[in-house]
Amino acid sequence: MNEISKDLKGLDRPENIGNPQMGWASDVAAEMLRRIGVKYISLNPGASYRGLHDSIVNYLGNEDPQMIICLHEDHAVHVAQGYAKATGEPMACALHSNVGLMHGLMATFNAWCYRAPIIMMGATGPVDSAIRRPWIDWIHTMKDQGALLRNYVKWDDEPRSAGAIVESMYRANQIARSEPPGPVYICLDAGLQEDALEEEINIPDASRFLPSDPPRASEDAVAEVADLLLNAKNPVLMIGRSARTEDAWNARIKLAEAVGASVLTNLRNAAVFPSNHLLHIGRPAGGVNPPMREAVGAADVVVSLNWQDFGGTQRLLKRDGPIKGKIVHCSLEQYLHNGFGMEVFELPETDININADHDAFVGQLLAEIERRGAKSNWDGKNRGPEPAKYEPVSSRPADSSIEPADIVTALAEAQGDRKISLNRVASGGIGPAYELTHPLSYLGHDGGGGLASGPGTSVGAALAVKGTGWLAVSVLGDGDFMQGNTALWSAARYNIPMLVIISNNSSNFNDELHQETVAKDRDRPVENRWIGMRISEPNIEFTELAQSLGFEAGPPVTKMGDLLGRIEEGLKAVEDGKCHLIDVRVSTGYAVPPLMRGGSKGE
Amino acid sequence: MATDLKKYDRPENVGNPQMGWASDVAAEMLRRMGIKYLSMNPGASYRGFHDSLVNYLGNSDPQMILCLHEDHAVHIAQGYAKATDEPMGCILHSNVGLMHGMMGIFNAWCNRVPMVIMGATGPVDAMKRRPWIDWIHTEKDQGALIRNFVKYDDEPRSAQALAETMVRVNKTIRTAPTAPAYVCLDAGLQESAIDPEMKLPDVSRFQPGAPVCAPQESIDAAAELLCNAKNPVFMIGRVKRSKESWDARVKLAELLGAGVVQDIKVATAFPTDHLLSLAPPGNRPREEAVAALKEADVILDLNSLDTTGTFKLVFGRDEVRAKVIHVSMDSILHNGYSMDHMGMPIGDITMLAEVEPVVDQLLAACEKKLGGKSKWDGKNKGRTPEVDTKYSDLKAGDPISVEALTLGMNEARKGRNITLANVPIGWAADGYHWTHPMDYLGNDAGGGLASGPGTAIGVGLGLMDSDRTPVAILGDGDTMQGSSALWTAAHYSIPVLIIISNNRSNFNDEIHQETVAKMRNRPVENRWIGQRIDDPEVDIGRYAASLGVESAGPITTIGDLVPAIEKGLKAVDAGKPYVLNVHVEKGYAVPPPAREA
Repeated sequence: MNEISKDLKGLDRPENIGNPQMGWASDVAAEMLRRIGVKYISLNPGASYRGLHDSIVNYLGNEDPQMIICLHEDHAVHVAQGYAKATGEPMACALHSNVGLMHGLMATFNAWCYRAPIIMMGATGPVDSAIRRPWIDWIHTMKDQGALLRNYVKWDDEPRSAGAIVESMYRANQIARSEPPGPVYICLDAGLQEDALEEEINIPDASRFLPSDPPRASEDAVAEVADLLLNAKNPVLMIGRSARTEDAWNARIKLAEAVGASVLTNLRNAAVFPSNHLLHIGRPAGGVNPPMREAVGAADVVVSLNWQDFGGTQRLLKRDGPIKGKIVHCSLEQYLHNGFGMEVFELPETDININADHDAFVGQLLAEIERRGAKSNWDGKNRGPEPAKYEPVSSRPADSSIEPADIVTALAEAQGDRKISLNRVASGGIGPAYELTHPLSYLGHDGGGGLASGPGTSVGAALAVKGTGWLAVSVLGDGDFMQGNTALWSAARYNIPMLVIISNNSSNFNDELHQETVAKDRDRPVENRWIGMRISEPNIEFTELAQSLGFEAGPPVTKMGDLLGRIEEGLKAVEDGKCHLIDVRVSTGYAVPPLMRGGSKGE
Repeated sequence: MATDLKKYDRPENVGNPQMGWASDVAAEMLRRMGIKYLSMNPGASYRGFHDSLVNYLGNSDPQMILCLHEDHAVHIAQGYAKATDEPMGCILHSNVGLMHGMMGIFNAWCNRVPMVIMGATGPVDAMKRRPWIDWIHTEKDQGALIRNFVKYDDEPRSAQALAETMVRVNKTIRTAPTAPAYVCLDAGLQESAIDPEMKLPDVSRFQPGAPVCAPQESIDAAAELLCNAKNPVFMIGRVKRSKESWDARVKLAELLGAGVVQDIKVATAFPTDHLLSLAPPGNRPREEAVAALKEADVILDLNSLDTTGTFKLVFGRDEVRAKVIHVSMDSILHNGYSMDHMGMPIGDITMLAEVEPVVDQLLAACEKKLGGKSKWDGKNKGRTPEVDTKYSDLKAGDPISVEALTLGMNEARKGRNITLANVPIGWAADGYHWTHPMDYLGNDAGGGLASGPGTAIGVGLGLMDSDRTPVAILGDGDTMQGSSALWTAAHYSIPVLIIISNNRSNFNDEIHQETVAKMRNRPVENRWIGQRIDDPEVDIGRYAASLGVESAGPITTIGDLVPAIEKGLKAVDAGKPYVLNVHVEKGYAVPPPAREA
């Protein structure tokens, strides 16, 4: 197992399929997945889509898309999200009837909040009651299954004919890939799937149904913002979720340098700007840190390029006083807002509001600045605070305990020339040493704050970078990991090289802090904060668990002196095409504690 | 309450806490409703409520049962209800925990089990929300996500309203047909101080009504049919676990000489070794049951899960000539959303009433009509109670079929009161008799996999301090979807033997792919693709051990099977959970119906 040479395409090969003809409605759905460029479909099988399953195996030959079998729909959706996190491209997943859909709903919500494009294929028992088997087909049929997720997918459909499937799938593709991207859901009636085609289905060319180039800002808006930026003494760019391409990455750098703007980023999103650039303010964080507050406080112009929760961030930034600079907000997000989910966030204050694709807007601004022949007013100096000194893991006392942040620090020290694609970090954050130097060097968080996402998204991200020279690494909290742990098996099954490092504090520790807050508020004993939280007695043996699912893993790392060596060993394993897990026992605590909701007494 | 569990997760220095916060009211009401346990996976949306359980109630009545996933939390509550007919509670964190728990809720709904689902939302008052996290974890009307498959839900807006909601929930979930209800607690409300003058309702004044009887006219008409029938047959579906009602059903069948058919999907309702039991329960009626139903002139349908589906399998397109007496409260729960109402059942006489009182009513009416004289000649109506194959006939070196696993379990059970929490699809019911209502508790009901480990642990929890030994026999696909529930069993030392009937595949679906391939003239040899859980095989024993559950296996030959089961049962006797991984051959004793073209 796990030799890198054993390529994905060599697995699960159908035999004797001959030259299959498109003859069934589900063949049309399978064909459409290929036409819209879907490479993989993660799934947990189920009889409601046995027609489609047959079409993928015996009509398409289990290729483009190839099936990635998972042990739970929670994983199937998260794998697809992870793939999109790395590539910006949709893969597909398949969810069995109502029950598989329900299993996959939380992950759908994560993908929605992350704005990850996914083609979600669903199925229902036969909508025609006359062809339902007793019992099982009745419990696995619901009216309008899409209603379960309509408020947190971009679009859904339940086509009623083979021809309608064609229409549906082109639309699904177009909508999923259009900015802001997101998941879409197509429910295939089991009866329809198994209908023979009565006539040849005319499938028009996919090139005629491509998504639009994203919307641009008006010339007036471009000119106005260019004026502001070029005349500003202390402009700030706040860059949120952005395109995954190197071109877009380079354009953002060019813009920041052209106007001498300080740049803020957020760890909830994938890397959008080099963290070691002189214009990047402070270390990337999941929230607002003092250097960020300082930069915005001094700013005469603040431009949000699709900053997530711009309103809530403003509230945190305003603790030292109102934001005095002009505020520009460029985002298409509001087109996904509805009355159901509060992932609309607080309404931000904005002086200039631009409904346009922000990466395109960056290009527009660059063109405008170039046209004006404006010179950069950046002095080439470091804008942020001097990088904080830290003691390398390699020089710490060998028997000292490990803090959560030390894991990523050790990863940075072990990195060398390796290209690491870090899917996730846990409570320790990114630490003082690891640098985000490429769109793939860090892939952000879960989107919806729904735990269980770590293992699945990591497998999906590793699938996406397999064979590219990037090494897939994830640092996952033990609570999150345990909710989705069996996703590891899929990586082992398909020889998807990856390193999973568990930042193991043996607790749902974030929630312990919440209980402490409440207990203090109520004058009750804080010493009970661990009850109903600690994942110990027994401690979970992650090593054995990983081995049971086909990963290689050594004994837990409990001392600083072993950390670096073990991470080096893990990286080498991934280079050798292996699936490797390291259980690192860390102290409970956070590098930067998350924000606690104040109780009745306020914060 | 199992006294043993009190030793876990003990709070300190709680002193003499006073009810002072809205979430204390929710906790207090759960205690007054008699809820013993709350299975949960923690989350900040209910931190106020969590505090009330720990520091106000002292984590006792109800006690928290910590889980690693909400899927497990809900299934544990289902298992507890399966074993006890009593509700326990579970807690689901905001929208994300609710979404994780939804499939479990659907299973519980389809199984008609009572359950209190406590939920929470981020602060509904936008002014109280923290940036980001409180916004993504707040949704409008969260109950809408599950309203079509719970009996009731509410999101109260004050502490007083919350108390009202809780007594309504208590009454609603305990009224037949029982089912789950959901209460969503606003994080803001939870953490608000209450009016010190607030009075809580007296739960005893809001109790469910007495079981619903049928009108005497219907009973008389049914008794007339049954007493005059030559070949009456009972089809018994979902009924309560009480021994009294079990005995009453036996008495009625014996009085009328009625053959009895029951369904393996629900808990056992009639002794399978009784001469009137027509056939071992299976995924479809066995031949003796089919023959008897075809011959029947009167069919008494006591809350069958799927009367119409059974008829479809037995009669095909032929007319059902027997008179059918349909007794069920289930239609009270039917809605236009979920098809779990199944096909429209025939009712020549329809009684919207509960099975238990109706059986008593019918007994009285029929005894009167027959002058107390039984119509049964005492002869065997169905198949011989003896099994074709015996465990002693099997060869020690042979691989293990699911049928052999059944026989091995039967061999190992001697001297114990085993409660089977679940059985796998291939279970060979003719090799294992059910002679008591607690012998078998039925499967997941919603057909939602991942239920096995959670429900098994819930059954174990419900049966602590009883004389029953809980055993669950689970497929590997189902097990792996809910596998980390085992940690909860380890943490609380919940005794249950979980035997994995491990065919290393989602095998039921392989059969489906074969069916489709045949219909389409495509190669059946590819049926395994995207189905097999192999290469690498999951080392289930090691997996269980990693979560602190003692395990053994894989057991691969007949000769090793019974000693391995006995070892597992001894571990359960000693108060521990135990996992036994048994490699079984692919195949079913009674294959479930596959949809044909």
